[in-house]
Amino acid sequence: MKEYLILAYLLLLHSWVFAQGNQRTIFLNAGTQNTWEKDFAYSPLVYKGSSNAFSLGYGSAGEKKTEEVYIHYSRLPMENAFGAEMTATHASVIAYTFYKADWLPEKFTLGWSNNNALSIRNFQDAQNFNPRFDFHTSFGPAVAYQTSFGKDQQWRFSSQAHWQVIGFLFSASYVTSPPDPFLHDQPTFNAFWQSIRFFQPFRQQDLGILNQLFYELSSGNEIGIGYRYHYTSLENAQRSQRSGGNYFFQLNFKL
Amino acid sequence: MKPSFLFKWLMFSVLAFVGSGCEMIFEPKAPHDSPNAVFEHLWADVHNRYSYFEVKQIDWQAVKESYSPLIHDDLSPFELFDILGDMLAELEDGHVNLLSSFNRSRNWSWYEGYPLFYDEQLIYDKYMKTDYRIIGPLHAQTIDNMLYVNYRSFERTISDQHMDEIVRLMQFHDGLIIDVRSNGGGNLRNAHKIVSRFTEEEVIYARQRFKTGPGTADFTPWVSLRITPHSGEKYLGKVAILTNRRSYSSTTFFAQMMRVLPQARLFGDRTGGGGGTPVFAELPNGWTYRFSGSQTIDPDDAHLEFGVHVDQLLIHPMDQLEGKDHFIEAAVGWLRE
Repeated sequence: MKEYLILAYLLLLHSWVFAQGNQRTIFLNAGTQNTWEKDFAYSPLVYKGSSNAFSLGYGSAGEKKTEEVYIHYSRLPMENAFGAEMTATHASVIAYTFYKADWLPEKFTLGWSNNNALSIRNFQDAQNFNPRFDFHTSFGPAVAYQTSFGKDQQWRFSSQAHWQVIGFLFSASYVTSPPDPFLHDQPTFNAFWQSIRFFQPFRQQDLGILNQLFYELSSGNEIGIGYRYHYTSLENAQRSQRSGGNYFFQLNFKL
Repeated sequence: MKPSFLFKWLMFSVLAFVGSGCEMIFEPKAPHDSPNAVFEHLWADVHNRYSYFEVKQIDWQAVKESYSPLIHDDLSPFELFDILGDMLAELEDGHVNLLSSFNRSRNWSWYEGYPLFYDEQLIYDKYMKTDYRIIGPLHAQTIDNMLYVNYRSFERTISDQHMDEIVRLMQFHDGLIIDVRSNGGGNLRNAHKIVSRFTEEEVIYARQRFKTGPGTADFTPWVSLRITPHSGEKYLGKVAILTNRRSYSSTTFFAQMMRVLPQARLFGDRTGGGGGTPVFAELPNGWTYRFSGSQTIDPDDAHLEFGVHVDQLLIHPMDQLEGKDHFIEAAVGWLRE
């Protein structure tokens, strides 16, 4: 419950800071997510699985600037090729800010993105080596393309992508679940601070693509379908990689 | 249909195609699972993360040189398992196992060849009888006005209520005996739960450090392990602990905790050890394995991996008593003093 309250708080915070007077929209989507994950601290094998995934988002579109924030959550039962199980929990808050520049083609916008993502992995046979986890916050450029079409321009297609190579991570240690500094006699804040690792260029990265097709209803709200792809590669004491494709239905409510 | 509309639909289709199914397209290939690949993976991971090479003076490179000629691609899974199990047995560590769907390799040299001096039939026939108390995982009986408590596995959870009852019973007894002979360990929390009832102040009982990298010196700093007193009712009288060579892992930690308390005395035989925290991992062929990833030392810098020494060694044939459990008898004798 506490996690949901924190997520709601972050969403509200983002809503509050967005500019007033812009077109504001709430996004709700649900669908299925296919994910694979590899945690080299435990296994060289790929774990795969599918499950339901949910997102909640908020957007604020202005003349020159568009801002969006999405909260994603999924809990996935996964298996390796030999039937060993792992339960993965993924949660993230990802924000995009796009700017319309005069020199850009009409339908393109450029900007930046920020992802704050948590992955928790509980392997069936790992006992007290569980849970393996990593949290990362990363920043990087983002680009969006958007076009409307149809007789009354009621169809809208948008595609956006990000690539984040700057950031930091906090993750399980070399031989234990807690990071090493948490094994020392010291205050929790110090331990947390010492556990933070900054991204090294191209050794850690987070990239994503979001394609969506919407139909505008007479009320101004939209219904649509979409596909969100993400790939994360992190390296601290050990390497971990994960990737997922989320196919969803989405409702956009204009505020 | 206007050409511009067709163009947009075409563009949408292309982008949707490019975007969809990426998670499948970029999925990594499965690792090689040939006998050689499995051998190399296991050897390298143990080389990088096992914590006792220097302490035990094991030349892991030499181990590789002696086992790698046995590995070839025609090995059956059963043959490969036996070779890898033998290689891991070189570590002489009870926290090292290889696990497949058809077998589990292990090294039990820490108690094999040692008399255990634990006859459950004798204990239940002579001392426990049939009217002993069952307090969760603890079996308790009064022996010569001492409370004898038998705990079979630290995997079985002890609650505050269980320990409240033990402390309550101590109002009616002159001393406490805790028998953890042949207790193979389990969850260290249960050890803390018991020992926290026997002290009024925080006590450091050992120090621990974890591997942080592949280098032989890649460890965290030593960190003190402490017993924190329970906030409620406690028993501060004499406690006798019975151990044998099959008291392993968390039981070794429990013995060490008790050893530093002034009112406790250990009887029997040295514990089997098991001072390293197990790390779990998986091989490219789906087998799993575990090994020690930490070191623990007592206040005199002795590694718990090799066991905790008792205060009164009772392994000499002359110590044994016909028809009696000489560990229990020795403990009762000390508690009476």
